[in-house]
Amino acid sequence: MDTGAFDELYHAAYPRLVAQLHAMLGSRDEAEECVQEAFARGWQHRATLGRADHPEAWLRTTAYRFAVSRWRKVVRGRRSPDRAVGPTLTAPEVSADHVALVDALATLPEAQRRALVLHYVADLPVEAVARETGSPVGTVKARLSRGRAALLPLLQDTAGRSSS
Amino acid sequence: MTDTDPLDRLTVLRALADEVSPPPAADVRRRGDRRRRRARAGMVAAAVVAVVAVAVPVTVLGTGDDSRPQPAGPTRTGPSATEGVLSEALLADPADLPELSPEVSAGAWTGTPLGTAPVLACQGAALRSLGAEEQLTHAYQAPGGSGQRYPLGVITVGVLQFDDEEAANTAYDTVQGWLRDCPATETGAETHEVQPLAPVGPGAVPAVERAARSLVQYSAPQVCPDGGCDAAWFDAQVVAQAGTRLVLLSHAEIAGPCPPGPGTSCEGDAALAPWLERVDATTAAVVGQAVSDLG
Repeated sequence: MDTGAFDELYHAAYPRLVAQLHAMLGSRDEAEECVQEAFARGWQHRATLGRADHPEAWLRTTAYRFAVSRWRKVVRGRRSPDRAVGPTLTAPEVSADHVALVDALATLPEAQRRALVLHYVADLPVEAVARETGSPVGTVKARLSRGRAALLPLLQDTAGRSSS
Repeated sequence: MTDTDPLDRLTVLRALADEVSPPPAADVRRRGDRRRRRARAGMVAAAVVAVVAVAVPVTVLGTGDDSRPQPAGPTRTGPSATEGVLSEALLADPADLPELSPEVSAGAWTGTPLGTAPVLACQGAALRSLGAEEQLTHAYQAPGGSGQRYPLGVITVGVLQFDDEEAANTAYDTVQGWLRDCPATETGAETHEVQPLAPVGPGAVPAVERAARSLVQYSAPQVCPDGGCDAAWFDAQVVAQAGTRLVLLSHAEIAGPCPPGPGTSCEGDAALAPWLERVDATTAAVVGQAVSDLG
């Protein structure tokens, strides 16, 4: 992948990936750091990225795994996340509805949350979610179903608060 | 997803993309270039470690095999100046993989990208979590005969290159734990049976320092999507280490309730023997090729 193709992918996919990672991680700063790290690794391994069937999925997975890896390090080391990968970002506020949705998602188990975000926010079909998460289609369907059941009352609750 | 689905409200979260301004692409590329330079510096050290690893007979495997590859010289083959260390040249040729049992009408092995799917059914976390500087994954499938829409055999491979031997050792221990305990969090495999972890036998994996294997059996819902049959994957999962490189391998065949044939026995070592011979052949071909640039 040459510079032009990489930059084009970067400008097109970066905002989408940040929005999706924000929904998965619950923090926009964290999302931006992880997406930047994913693109840096993408450029580092640009031959691999260029060969990927779905480069945006490759980047999303890399960003997500980087986030998970950082969580594990934090838990193991009982210390703050390593912020050295990039400058600390200060993001503008998002809407109250946005915050409520992200908060509702944050109550779900990690696997369910990721499946819901990939399906509803990244607009991936179930089969693509299965490919990206490395899970059988049946497992993804179960996660979506359980996540949906858990999320519905929360969404109705936040919708009620928004409209009142 | 339908227009009336309440969860469609989640699409609101896409709107954040309109507010995001990416930092300059050049900054990200510079960071990627720095990572690449660091990795390359690490690989010089890794090559030295690999030479030592091959030259010193660390014999967890205890091969005692005179045909063991000689230590590599200081000039490595493999990575070019720009393309990293791991390449497709480290993947076994499908023709070198063992034919499945003549009892099943499987076609020839063909290579296929694995993408981000797990390499091991028992994997307890994403491979990326192991902290490798580079990784290469691949899969091979032996398709079924007519009317069978599922593969009869699947081999998956992960080659992981680490910056230093300590990181590789830690990752090896982690993978060994996956093989021993089979958390299967990445695949959701419904495990029937996991046999105790065992060192890989002498000669099966040349040119590596240590290797271990576990045998696991889990449901094969591809065969009977509605349930009601006892088809199962018989899966041999291997981890091998050569210096700063790990090779993860799974050789899985559909059978059940008896192990993959040929043979009429259903229990005991004799029943497993034909399958394990194919596993050994796969291990030698795949792992041997994956470390072929190290010695």
